Amino acid sequence: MDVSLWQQCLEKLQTQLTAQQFNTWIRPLQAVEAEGGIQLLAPNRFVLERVNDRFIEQISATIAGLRAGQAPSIRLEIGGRESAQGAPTARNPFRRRNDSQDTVCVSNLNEEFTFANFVEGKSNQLARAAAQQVAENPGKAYNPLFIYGGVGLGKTHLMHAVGHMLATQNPASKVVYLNSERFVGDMVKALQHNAINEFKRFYRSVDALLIDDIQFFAGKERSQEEFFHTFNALLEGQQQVIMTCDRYPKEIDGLEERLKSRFGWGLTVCIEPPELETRVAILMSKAAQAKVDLPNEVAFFIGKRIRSNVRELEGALRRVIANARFTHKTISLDFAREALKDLLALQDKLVTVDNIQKTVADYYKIRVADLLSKRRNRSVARPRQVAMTLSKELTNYSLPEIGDAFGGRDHTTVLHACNKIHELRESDNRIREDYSNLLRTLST
Amino acid sequence: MPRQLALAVALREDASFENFVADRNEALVASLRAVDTSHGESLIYVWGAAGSGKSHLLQAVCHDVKPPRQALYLPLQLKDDLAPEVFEGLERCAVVCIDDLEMIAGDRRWEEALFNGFNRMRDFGTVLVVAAAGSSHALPWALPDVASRMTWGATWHVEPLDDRRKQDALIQRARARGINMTEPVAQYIMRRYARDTGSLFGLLDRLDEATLAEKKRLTVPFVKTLLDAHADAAN
Repeated sequence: MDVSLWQQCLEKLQTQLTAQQFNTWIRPLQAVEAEGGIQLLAPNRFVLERVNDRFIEQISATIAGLRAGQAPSIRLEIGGRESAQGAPTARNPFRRRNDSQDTVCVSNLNEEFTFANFVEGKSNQLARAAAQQVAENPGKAYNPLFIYGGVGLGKTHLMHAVGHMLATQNPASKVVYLNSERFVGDMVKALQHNAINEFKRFYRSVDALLIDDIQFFAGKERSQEEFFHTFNALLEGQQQVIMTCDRYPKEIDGLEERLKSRFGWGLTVCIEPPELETRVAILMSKAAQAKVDLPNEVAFFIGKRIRSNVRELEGALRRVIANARFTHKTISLDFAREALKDLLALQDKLVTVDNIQKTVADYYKIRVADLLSKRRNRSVARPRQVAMTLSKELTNYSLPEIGDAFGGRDHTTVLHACNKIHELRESDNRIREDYSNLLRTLST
Repeated sequence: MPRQLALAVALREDASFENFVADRNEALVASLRAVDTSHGESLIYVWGAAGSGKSHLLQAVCHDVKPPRQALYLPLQLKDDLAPEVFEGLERCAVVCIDDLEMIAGDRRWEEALFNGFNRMRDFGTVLVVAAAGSSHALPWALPDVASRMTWGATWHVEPLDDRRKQDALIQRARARGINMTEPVAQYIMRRYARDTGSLFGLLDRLDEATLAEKKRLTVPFVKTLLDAHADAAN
C-alpha cells in the first residue's frame, strides 16, 4: 500500500488548503491500496460528497504531480480504517457495514447488536417488543420510537437490532446510526463550509435515522433547531426515527419544549436495570458468544454482585475470561472473586506512619507518645517494633524516615525491629495473631 | 508514518515489557502484551497506587505496537497544557493509552470529550488502555455515561512489589542500562531511600549520570556520598 505517497500528498495539501478545510475534509480520509490506484475512504456520505465536489481534482493533481508520468487512479468511497489497515476483525466489536454495491448505505451498525443476541427479561420486555414492531413496520408502527433508561442497559443494542433488521429486509434502504455528537459535528462543519443544504439533504434522505444519547443535544440550540426540522421532515415522509436517551423526554434539561413534546409523539419505552435471572442469562450468553465455558455458580456469583448495568457485567466477565486465558487455568469462583475485587475495590488505601502508630497504640492500649518515647520495657518496645515493621511493609517511606518518625531512631533500629518481628511471627502465636489483626485493620 | 501523533509525548525508551518485573501481575502483563494481537481486548482499565508501574506498562504497550499501526500515549497529567479536543481523531490510531485518568474525572467538559472520543474509538476498533489511581468506581465522574463505559473492559489492579522484588527490579533496571549494581549496593539503597519504584528508578537515573560524570564505579561509598549530598540539598 503506497501510504507514503498519500502521506506526501497530505503534506502538500496541507500547505494549499486552509487548516479548517484540511482538518475537516481531508484529514478524515484514509488511503488504501487498490488495484491500479488508490482508494480513499471517507467516513460518511457527507464527507464523500464534499470531497467529490470541491477537492477531488486538487487531490488528483497533487498526486499526479508527485508521481509524474505514472499517476495512479483515485477512487473515492465510504469506509473505515479497519479495511484500510487490515486490522483483525475479531477484536473489533463495531465493524462497519461496507456494502460494496451501495456504499451510500453505510450505517455503522455493530454486527453483534442483533435481536438474536439481545437477552430478554422483565426489565426490557416492552422495549424489545416495541423495537421489533418498529423493525417490522418502519415508519408506521411507532414513529418516533424513544428508548430511555440508565447507562449500559442495552438501549444502543436495541437500536442497532432494528437497524439490522431493516437493512436485512430491504438491502437498499438507507439506515443511518449516529451519536448525537456526530450530528452536531456534521452540522457545525456544514455551517462553516456553507454546506447546510447538503447536510439537510443527506439527513432527510435516509429511510431510518437512529440517534443515540440525545441528551447531549442539551444546550446546543442551533443543533436542536436543525434536528427539529430534520425530525419533522422524516416523520412527514414516514421515515423511521429512533432515539435513545438517559431519561424521559420531559426531563431533559436544556432541550426545547417543542422537541420534548414531539419526542413523545410516537412511543416512549423504558429499559430498567436487569434482575438477577436476566443478569445471569446475559453472562451465559456473552460467555457462549466468546466460546467460553462459564460454570453456573460463577455466573450467579458475578450476577449477584454486579447489579448496576450490563456494561459492567460484561467487564467483569471479560476480566474473568482474560485471567483464565492468560494463566491457562479453568474459570473458577476464585477467579471471579479476584476479578470483582479489582473492579469493585476503590483505591489503594493510603496508609501513613501516623495512622499505623495510632492503630497499634489503640490495639495494645498504650499511648502513641509511648511508642515514640525512649522507654524500652517489653510492654512498649514490642508494640513499637510491630509498628515499625508495619510501617516498612505498608508504606514506601525510607527506613531512616521511619526511624525518624519513631522518636528519631536510627534506620538500623528499624531493620532490627523488622527482623525481630519476622522471627517472632514464626515462633510466637500471639505476635503472629497480633500482626495479622493489625495488618487486616490497616489494609482493608 | 510517525508512531506518535501530533501530541509528541516521548516514550521512555526503557519502558518495555522485558524490564518490567511482573511478579503478581503476570496475567495483567500477558493481557497487555496481547493488545496488538488478534486476541487482544478492546478496552483494558489498569489502576493502582503511584509508583506501581502503570505508566511503564502503558508505554510498553505503545512500544509494542508494530508500525505502520499507530499508537499514542496520552498522559493527562499534562491536562493543563492540553484541551479536551485532544481526544479528537484518536480513533485513527490502532492503540491509544490514556494515563492519569483521574485528572479529568469530575470535569464535565473533559468527560464529554472523552465520552465522544471513546464512542469514536469503539466505532473504529481502536484499542484503548487506560490507567488511573483508583478503579472507575472510585473516580468522581460527572457523567455516568463515562463511568459505565470505563467498566466495560477488563479492570486490573496493579499489585505492588514487595521490597525483595523491588530490589531485584532495581538491579535488573540498572543492568539494562549497562550499570553493574551489586546486591550490597541495592540493599544499601533499599535501606536508606524511599522504596517506591518511581523514586528508586529516579535515583537510578541520577546514579547513572553521576557515575558517568565522575567516571566511578557504583559502590556503597559512592551511593552514600550522593544520598548525603541530596539530603543536605533538601535540608
